Amino acid sequence: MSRRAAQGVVGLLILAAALAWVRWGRTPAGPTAETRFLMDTLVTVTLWGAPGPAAEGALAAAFGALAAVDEELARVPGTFLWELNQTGSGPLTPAAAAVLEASLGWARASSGAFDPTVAPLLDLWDVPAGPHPPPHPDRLARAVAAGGWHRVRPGANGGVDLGGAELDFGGIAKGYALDRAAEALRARGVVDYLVNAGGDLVVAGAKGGAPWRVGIQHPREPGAFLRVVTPLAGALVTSGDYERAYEWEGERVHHLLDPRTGRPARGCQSVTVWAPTAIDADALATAVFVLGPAEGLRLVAAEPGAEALVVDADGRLHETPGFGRVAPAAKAR
Amino acid sequence: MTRRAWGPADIALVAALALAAVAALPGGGSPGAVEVLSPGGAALWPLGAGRREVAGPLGVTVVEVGPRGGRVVASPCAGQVCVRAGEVTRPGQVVACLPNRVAVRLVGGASGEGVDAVAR
Amino acid sequence: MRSPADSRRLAELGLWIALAAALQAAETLVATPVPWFRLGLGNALVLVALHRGGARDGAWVALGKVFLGGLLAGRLFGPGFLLSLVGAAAAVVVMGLALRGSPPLGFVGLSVLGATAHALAQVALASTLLLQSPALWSLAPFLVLLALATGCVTGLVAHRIAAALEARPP
Repeated sequence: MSRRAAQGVVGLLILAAALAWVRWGRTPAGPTAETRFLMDTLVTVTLWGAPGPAAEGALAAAFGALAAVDEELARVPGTFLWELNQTGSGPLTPAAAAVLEASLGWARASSGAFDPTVAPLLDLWDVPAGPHPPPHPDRLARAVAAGGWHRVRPGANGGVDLGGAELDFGGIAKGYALDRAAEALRARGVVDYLVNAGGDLVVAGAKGGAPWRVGIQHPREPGAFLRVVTPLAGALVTSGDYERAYEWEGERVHHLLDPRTGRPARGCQSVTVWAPTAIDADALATAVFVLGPAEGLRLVAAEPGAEALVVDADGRLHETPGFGRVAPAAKAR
Repeated sequence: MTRRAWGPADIALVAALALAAVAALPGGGSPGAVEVLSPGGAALWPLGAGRREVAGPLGVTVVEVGPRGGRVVASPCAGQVCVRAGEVTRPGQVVACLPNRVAVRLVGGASGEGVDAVAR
Repeated sequence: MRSPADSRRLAELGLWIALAAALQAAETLVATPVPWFRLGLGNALVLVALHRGGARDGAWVALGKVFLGGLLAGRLFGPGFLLSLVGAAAAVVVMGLALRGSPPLGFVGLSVLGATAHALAQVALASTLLLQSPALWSLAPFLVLLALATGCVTGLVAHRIAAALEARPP
């Protein structure tokens, strides 16, 4: 073989070797993600790191954690919560005990704006069924009177006594589930993740060199964002009147009920809360939405570590002073 | 050597192929795609693929994949939230018919305002 | 009894297959606009084999690179493997025919034809077998442009190799 030919062949061999080394010598980090239907919404778990069986295993663990909470605490026939509501009292599973304790704590702190005993009210409004006439005011008043978080007491032999009320954890269970999923990921050594359960999310680390970018949905313009932020590790939960909502005779009907009046809360269009844990962010977002911008932001200010961004009923933005620190606006790309 | 590296015929060939390819380009820009998730799995449609039907537990959801994104045209759910939600035009946006377990979202493509998640 | 010329030819073939397989396996690393599509860089060596040894040699190298490359990359018989098989087959057939056709094309033209056939065959397979829809064809123009670029490069590389080999003493 001539020298030139030999050079050409050697060059190709070096190229092939270099490519092979890049291919197998080191595994480039990248995103691994999966989306499933869970908790009656679309859940996407995204990790950043070396792809492969370890990443897939971590994803499976995260989804497993979410599913476990959903199977216990969703208010559908067959779950633990459903049975508890039927019997009215009884022992609590660890997850139910944790969520109930947090719920009652937030009910106290928010003076009843957050209240886990709203199940009968939610059934009366039945927002998922689509547009229909609102429930009669008398029925609403009776449901409000029959409920109330103060009725829930410790049970005779441990456990709980609902005192005639019925529990729904819709305003807090997703947060609890997200915290469990994040725990499962961290237990597997994942430090860069974003778990998005239908718009409520926990985030940690970053995507390679760049931070996670989260768009906060504009409550009145479907394609637009209020702001794009790069949140610190923690949870970002948004409550808004635009999901699962419809108009009936000029009034917007949505699922964020004011437990004190029994009607959809009217003080805000959307509330976004950042907190170190998702269970707190979830409950706070629900409470602030019901309380309205003034009282709601006061509640957030009283909670160390929590920050909020509120869009009031007229579309004006209010935020706690620290919101820009925990969820800074993303630099334009 | 009997065969050259290139000559006039090669130039003509490359030019012709390049012109044909550029002429066939769909509206320019980098290709985004619309992903439709359903109990049957995930399907990826390039923009402009037209109306697609997806089956779910309640029945058939009709998704329209237009030149800029995708939207739900019809679905057998009670609330019709998905139909009223409009079009997804940016990566990260999702429109879903949750009762029928169908979701539509935009993947890939270039977007200066791409986000990893939407808080809503 | 094998003649020295035959032995040399066999050794050459083996070398092309090995090189092409390595490139085939390594290019699974390179990201393309649509998942599973491959660049077909190994076609340079298929073309060299076609030019020097004829259709059969070219076919050996094409098949060898697909199977050996798939084995190396650990992706035998998946969708990516099917796509590279169809692409390589289309490329070697088209290049083989063009080698004997007229007007006589240079290496770049041959390689570009091969790369284009490679790309279009992959789109055809993907849209009939993998996704069951004609919608993937809207990506074809991008893939053809990509094929034009890689075809020019592999054509020049193939020419250098072939010219260098012909310059050596018999």
